[in-house]
Amino acid sequence: MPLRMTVQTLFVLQALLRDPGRELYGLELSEETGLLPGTAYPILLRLENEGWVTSRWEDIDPHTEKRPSRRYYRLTAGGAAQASAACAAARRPSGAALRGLAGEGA
Amino acid sequence: MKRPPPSPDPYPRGVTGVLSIVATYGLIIAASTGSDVWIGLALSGVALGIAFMFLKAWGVPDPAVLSRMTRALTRQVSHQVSDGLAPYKCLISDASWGVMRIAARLMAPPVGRRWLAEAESFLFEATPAAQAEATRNYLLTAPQVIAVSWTTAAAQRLRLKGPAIRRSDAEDNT
Repeated sequence: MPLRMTVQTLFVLQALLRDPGRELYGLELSEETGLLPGTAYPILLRLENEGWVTSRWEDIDPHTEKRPSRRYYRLTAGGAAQASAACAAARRPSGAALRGLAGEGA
Repeated sequence: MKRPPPSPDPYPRGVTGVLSIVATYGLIIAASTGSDVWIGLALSGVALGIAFMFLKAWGVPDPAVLSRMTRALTRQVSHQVSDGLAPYKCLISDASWGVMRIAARLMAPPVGRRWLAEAESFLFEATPAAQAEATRNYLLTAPQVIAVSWTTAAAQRLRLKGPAIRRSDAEDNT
């Protein structure tokens, strides 16, 4: 099933694309995208199922750190290329929008 | 005329408890305005229908069985909290956490555990003001995660089974 490219999905992809090598965890992603974590989670799940994103648990001892471990997400190599293409396509105005603008100008 | 004595409550407390949990969860979902709400409502409807058919076919189960089922449904599934040794305290209310545990139980098992553990991690680090909003958001989007998790699990199962079925068909034809 092709990935549904919603505005929220694009927000998540853009946040991950800012530094494709960097791993982001839930709170960081939420701050960077402005999305609430529950909204971002199904999107990340779909991206991971499609192989665009990979994730891992932070390797810490919660007893020492006195906090739960975080789940880190980053784009895969193939995912970064597909995400760039998806974001570029989203930035391109559609033919219908251009025709609408041309109609308004006339 | 002497009034007949009131009939005893036909449903044990377990049934009322389970139904109230379902009703509460349904109300939380209905409080949202997103389109995903309808997926949640449809899922809740299916769950209620199954529960009704079960009760009609086999009658009200033994309270001990019901209590075991409720315990299984609400058991802590977070890998971090379930060991009972976590040095931090979950800051959201027990009621919200209980509903989140139930939602996690409705997801395909690995996804449910992960969802709850991630929620736990997020809520621990979020500011108190953000926690309530984030908890509500987690609960409102839970039906979507339930749907995605089971769809993925079914697709994976079909992918695994697909070639085997085709191979056995081919062997039958030869």
